[in-house]
Amino acid sequence: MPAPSDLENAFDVVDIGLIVVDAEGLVQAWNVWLAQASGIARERAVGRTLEDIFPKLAASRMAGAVGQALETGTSSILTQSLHGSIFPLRTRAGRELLHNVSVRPLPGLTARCLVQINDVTVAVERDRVLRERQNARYDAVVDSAPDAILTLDTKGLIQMANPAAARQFGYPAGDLVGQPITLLFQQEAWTEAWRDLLAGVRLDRPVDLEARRRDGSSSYVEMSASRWSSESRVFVTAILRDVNERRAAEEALLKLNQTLERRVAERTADRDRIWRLSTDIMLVARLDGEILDTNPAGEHLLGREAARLYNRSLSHFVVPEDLDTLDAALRELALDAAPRLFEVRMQHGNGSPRTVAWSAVAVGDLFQAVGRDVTGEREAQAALRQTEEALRQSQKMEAIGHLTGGIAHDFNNLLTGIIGAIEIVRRRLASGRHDDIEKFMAAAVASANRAAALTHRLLAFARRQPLDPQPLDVNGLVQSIEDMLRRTLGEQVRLKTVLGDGVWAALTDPNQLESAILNLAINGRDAMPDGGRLTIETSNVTVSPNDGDADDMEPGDYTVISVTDTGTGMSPETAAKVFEPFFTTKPIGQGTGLGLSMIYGFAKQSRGQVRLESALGEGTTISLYLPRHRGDPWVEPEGGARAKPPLGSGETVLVVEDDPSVRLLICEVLRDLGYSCLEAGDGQSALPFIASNIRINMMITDVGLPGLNGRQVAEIAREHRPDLQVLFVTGYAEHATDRGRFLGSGMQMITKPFTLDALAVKIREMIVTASLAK
Amino acid sequence: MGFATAQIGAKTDSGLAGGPTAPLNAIELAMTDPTALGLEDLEVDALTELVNLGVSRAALALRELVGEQVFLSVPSLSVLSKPEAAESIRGANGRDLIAVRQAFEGEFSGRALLIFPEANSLELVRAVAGDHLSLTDIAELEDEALAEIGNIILNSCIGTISNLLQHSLTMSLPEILRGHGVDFFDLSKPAIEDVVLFIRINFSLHGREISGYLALVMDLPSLAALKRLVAAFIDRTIA
Repeated sequence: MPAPSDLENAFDVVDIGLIVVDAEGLVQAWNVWLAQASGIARERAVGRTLEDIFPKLAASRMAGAVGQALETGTSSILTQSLHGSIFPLRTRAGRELLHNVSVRPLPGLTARCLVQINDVTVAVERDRVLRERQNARYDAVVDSAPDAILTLDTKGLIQMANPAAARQFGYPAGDLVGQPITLLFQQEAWTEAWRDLLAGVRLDRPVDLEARRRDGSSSYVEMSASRWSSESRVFVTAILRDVNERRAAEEALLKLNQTLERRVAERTADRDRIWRLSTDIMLVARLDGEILDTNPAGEHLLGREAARLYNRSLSHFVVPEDLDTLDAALRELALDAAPRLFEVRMQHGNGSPRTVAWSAVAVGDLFQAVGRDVTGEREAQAALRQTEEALRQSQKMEAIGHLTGGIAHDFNNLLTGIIGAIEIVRRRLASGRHDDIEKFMAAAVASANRAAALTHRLLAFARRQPLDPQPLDVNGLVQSIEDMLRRTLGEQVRLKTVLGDGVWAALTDPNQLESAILNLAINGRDAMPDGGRLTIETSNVTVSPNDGDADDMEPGDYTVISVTDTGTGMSPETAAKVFEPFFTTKPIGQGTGLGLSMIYGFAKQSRGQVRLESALGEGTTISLYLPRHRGDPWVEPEGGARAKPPLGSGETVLVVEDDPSVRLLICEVLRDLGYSCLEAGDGQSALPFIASNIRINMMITDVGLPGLNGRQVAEIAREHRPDLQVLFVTGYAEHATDRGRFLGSGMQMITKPFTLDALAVKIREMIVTASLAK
Repeated sequence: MGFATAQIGAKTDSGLAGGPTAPLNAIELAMTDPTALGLEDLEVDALTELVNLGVSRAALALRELVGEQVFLSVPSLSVLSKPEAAESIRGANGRDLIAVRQAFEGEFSGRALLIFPEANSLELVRAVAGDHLSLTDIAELEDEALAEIGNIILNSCIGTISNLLQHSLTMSLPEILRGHGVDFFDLSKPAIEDVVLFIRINFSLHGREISGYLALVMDLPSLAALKRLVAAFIDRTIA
């Protein structure tokens, strides 16, 4: 047992603070360590209460602890962690001395207690530094994390929540700590994840959770979490990523998809309706024609149920005559993806053909086609065509009525003149009066000539007059008819001719041109009832291929004769019609309406054109374009046949003519002229002469003959007599309007009616030419 | 065991209402020798009253420390054998308990334990030490702080009881134990006849509800001494 002094030494040597308090609460002992740490010497402390020495203790648990120890023998601890500094103590370095205090009763007869003060400054400081260092790292990560981070204990109570968590769930900072996690998560998904986490199962992937915010709204988070432990205590730390935006985007996308589906469905429904309701046939088929699908219109049109159409070839329903069209269309479809149009007649189930216009396009090895039943349309078109044809026919008949009426009227007048004159001549001859026969004969011939001119005009209008195109000096022609024109125009109209220098020779029929100019001049005169000036102008014009005015004129050189009046002119409406047959602005009886149409026909037949320029009150210019002749201008032979009909010298002429009076006339003329004549009524009866050895210098034949026609007779004759001269006589020549092609060498043509003089000249010319050629 | 599970998980008074009062009789029936151990009803009531007074003092002491009102209540008191006591606090997983233990010595001797589920203990420390501390801070000072909190409660209860029973005890300084019931009640030792005065305590502070247990482990002579002292207390009080 150590001596009390040793115990007192030990009491003062230990590195802890020791106080002994007696039953009265007065300090009985106060060791050196405490005197140093408190700065209060033992002498000043002993005999005083602790509250007296340290007044602050009165408010602390210290007084109670001492009281308890003294009264009930209990021991107490007072920790710096809960109390901070209990006593005001300093380390030797002068810093605050952190300490824990224990109070315990001292065994013995009198109640005493021992207060023991442990210096924990170093340990607490060390812990604090370590903690702060750790916290600094931890805070840097956790507090600044944008994701909510929660640490839960195994009871599911939140032990830690970072600022982002408070923000995300709408709680004031700190309010989440201590709360059960079920405050935030109530779903099954959470319960499952939590169970797994507690059981130590790792979460393979983030868990999508719906959290309840403080205000009751939902917040969607994606949770990553893991379990960890510290000093046997298990925690779960969860990182909750705010996926509301992503979720909203997903929902929007989902909604979009749903509405898209709805829209697609609607559009599909629309198209279905079109498919079902369309009166047009819609068809899907393979390129070989096999039908895969068709709409109700297809069934209706073909008069068969869809089931009976599928897997059968389209060609099965097409009328045999149109199969080629279908095949060609299918072949074309197979070439590329261009849409094709074709029309075929389809066979309805009841046997009636339906015309269907198809529009088809190939897609892969299929084609889709829309077909429209155009049967009604086609029938209507056909009916329209028939009606139009009927109308045209009736118009034609009306026109013929006009024409024949006019012609009959004119011919009757002329025939009256001719017949009347001849009747008088016959009477005079019968009565032996010869003195004034000539006058009536002249009248008869004049009437007959007018009749001939009339038929010429008719033929010209019909473009059936045989033209005799020749190289022609147009200026010369105009000059030659100038006098006649002046007389025709009368005194009120002044005639002016402007003949261009070096005007090309035109290739045309001189007689027709003369007639045309005369006609134009008379029209001009009629357009100037109060007089005026008529100008005839000639010029050269070259029409180039690019010429916008070319109309239907072939490019090339043209000789142009223009006739211009200063008359009333005409409106565009009138101008558009003037070339129509029977169009006339003149009173009935004054004109046939054939003039301009005849000129038009003549110009076109000459491979030329007529142009008209006119305006109301501005006069009219009509220009005749005639093709230029390449070569020397034709000059009429000097003297010509005008003087006296040349006579034959006993040459034999074979005449083939079916009209007895014409045959009689021709033969009579030939004999008068000194030719001998052989007569045949048709081609057949002419053949014996041709085949015989009889000398025949020339054959005159009508073109239009019953049986063998003139041309055929001529060919047969040429086989027997290659050098035989042939003169064709024709009223109109359907096949002979182009003389060049109709006539071979040694052949000529003369148009009925002809003058005896003209016939005589022609015969002589041919015989002489033939004899010269030998 | 529904009783224990309800205790550990429960956070509201209503959640506790169903179980606590009824089991007393059931547990008495379960005892090995009720007559030998037996505290009479009146004695149990008196003892419960004494514990309530002690707990009230503890609440006052805690209030000084926390700076706001602390409510402690004792809904039930029972006398169990050590295995029964260990079983009744085993909880859902039989682990994760934390206890503050102090020995007492006098006419009746034994060990007093304040036991919490570990999770609750953390809450208790947070409630006392303040919300401003981080989880790591609380974990750091958990043992120290819990030791003092337990010390305050145990001192108040035992001190008040011994004071009212007019018998002095000495109590050791507190120590912290972690583990489960088996560890706390020394089941490995053959002192099979030891009994446990088993008291459930509910804390309510800072708006948090925390459940714990107060256990007084004594041998039979100590229990007999306690019974005698309580009887004397009853006599005095009635007189």
